Amino acid sequence: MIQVKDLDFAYRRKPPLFSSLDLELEDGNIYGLLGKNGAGKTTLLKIISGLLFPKQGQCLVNGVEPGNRSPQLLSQLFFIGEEFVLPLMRAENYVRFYSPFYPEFDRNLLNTALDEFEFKEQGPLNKMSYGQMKKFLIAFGLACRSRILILDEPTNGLDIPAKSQFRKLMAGSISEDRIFLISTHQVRDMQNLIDPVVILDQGKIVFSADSNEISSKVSVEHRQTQPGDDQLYSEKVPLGYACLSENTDEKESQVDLEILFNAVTRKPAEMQRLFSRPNSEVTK
Amino acid sequence: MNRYFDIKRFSSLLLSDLYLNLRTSLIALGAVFGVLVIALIGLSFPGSDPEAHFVLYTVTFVLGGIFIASAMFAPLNDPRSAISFLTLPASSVEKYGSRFLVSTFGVFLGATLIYEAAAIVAALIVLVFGGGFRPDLVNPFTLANLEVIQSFLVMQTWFLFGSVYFRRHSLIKTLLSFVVFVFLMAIITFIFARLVFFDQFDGWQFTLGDNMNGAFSLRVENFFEQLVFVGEFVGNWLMAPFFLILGVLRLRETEV
Repeated sequence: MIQVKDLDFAYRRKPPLFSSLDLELEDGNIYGLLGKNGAGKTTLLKIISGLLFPKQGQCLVNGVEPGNRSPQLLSQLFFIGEEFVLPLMRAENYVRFYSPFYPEFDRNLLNTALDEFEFKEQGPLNKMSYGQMKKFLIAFGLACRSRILILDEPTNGLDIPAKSQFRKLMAGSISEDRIFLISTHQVRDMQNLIDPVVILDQGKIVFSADSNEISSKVSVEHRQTQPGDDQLYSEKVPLGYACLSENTDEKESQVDLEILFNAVTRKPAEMQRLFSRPNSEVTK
Repeated sequence: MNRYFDIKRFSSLLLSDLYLNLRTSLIALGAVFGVLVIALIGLSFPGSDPEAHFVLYTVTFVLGGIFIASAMFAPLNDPRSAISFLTLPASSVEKYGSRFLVSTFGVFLGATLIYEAAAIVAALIVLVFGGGFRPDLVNPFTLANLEVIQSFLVMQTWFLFGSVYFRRHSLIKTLLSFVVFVFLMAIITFIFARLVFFDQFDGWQFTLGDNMNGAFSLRVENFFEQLVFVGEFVGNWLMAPFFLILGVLRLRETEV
C-alpha cells in the first residue's frame, strides 16, 4: 500500500508543487496516473520511489518511508523512468550482476517477457535503440517481482506490437500483493489496462476512481450534431462530437479515458460534484 | 537482512562496480602502462636516481587514484543514471563503501600490478638492446611506501567526498577546496601562534628579539612538534572517517 498524507513539496526556488496532497493506493491494482505536463506526475513518482524528499507530510510505501532508501524497501520497488541509461554490458551480464539485489527475481519470467517482446539483441545494452532498451528494462522490472512497480511513460518508444505485449504482460503480472503505478500521456495505449485512474492537476489529486465507478456515473457517446447544455462535457472529434454525460440509466459503458481526462481538467467543478465522496481518502 | 550492511549485498555491489569500471580502467591502465615502460627504460640508464622509482610509482597510483575517485559518483550528475544508482537495493554505506574500495585498494592493486609489469617489459626491452635484465620491481610494503599509502587513503576520502558533493567538475572543485582548506589552516595556525607567542610578535612579524635562549628555543620547538603531532593525528586518523561519514550522509541526502 502507498499512503501519501498531507504532503508538501517544492523544488528549490520554485513555488510549491504539492500542498497538503493526500493519496492512498491499494494493493492489487494497476493505477494510471494522468496529468498535464508539469502537473507533478513524475515528481510524485520520484517521491514514492524515495528519489525526492517531501518538505512536509508523509509518504509511506508498505509502511516504510521511501526517503530512507532502505535496501529492504528498494528490493520491493522497481522504478522505470521515462528516460534512463543502461550500462555498457550485455543483457546476460546485467541480469547476472543486478538480479541478486532482488530476492524474488524470476529468470523464467524474464525469458518469457523477453520472448513476448521478441527481444533478440545480443550486443551491449547501451548501444541498443531506446525501444529495445525499454523492452529489456520492463522485462527485468517485471522479473524482479517487486511489490511496487512504477513506470513513467512506459509505452513511449515501444513499437505497436510491443505496446500490446506490454499490456498483456502487465495484466498477467498483477497480483493481490502488488501495485503497478503507471504515469502516462498515452491514455489510448492504457485504455484497458489501468484501473483505477488518478488524475493530478496543478499539484492536486482532482480525480480518483475505478472503472466500475466511472462507468456507473458517466457515459460517453458520439454524436454527429452539436450537443446541448445537458452534457457534462463535449468536444469536437472527427465525424462529430464526443459527449460525456451523467449516466442516469445505470447502464455501464466503456468510457474513453481521453474524454474523461479532458472533462476532469476542463470541467473540474462538475466532475468533482459527480465523483465527490464524503471524507474521501484520495481527494483533498 | 541488515539495513545498513549486508556482506552478500555488498559483495554483489562491489562486483558490479568493478565490472562497470573494468573497461575504462583497462583503457586507462593501458595508457599508463605505455608511459611507465618509456619512463622505466629512461631510468634504466646508469646514473639515474634510485629515488626516481619511488616517485614514479607513487605518482602512478596517487594521480590515478585522484582521477578515479573524482569520477566515482559521476552517475549522480545525470538524472537518468542517478535514478538507477539510487534505487538499487543497497544501503548508502554499501554504495559508498564499495566505491571507496574500488578507488583506493582497487587503484593501488591495479597501479602496483601495472608498474611491476611495466618494469619487466622495460627490462626486457633494455635486454634486447644489449643491456642486462634488471627489472626495477617495486616493493609496495616498504615503510616509505606504506606511509604514502596511508596518506593516499586519507586523500581519497577527500576526493571521493568531492565526487559525491560536487555535481560537475568535481576534480577541479575538490582541488580548489583543498587549496582553500590549506589556506584556512595556515591562517588558523598563524593566529594560534600569534596567541601563544604574542610577546614575540611585532605587528605581523615574528621576532626572536633577546629571548633566543635555550629555554625559549625549546618552547618554540615543542610548540611546532605538538602542532605537527596534532596535524598528523587529525590528518591520518580523524580526517578519513570524517569525510567517509560526511560522504555517506551526502549520498543519503542526494535527490534526483
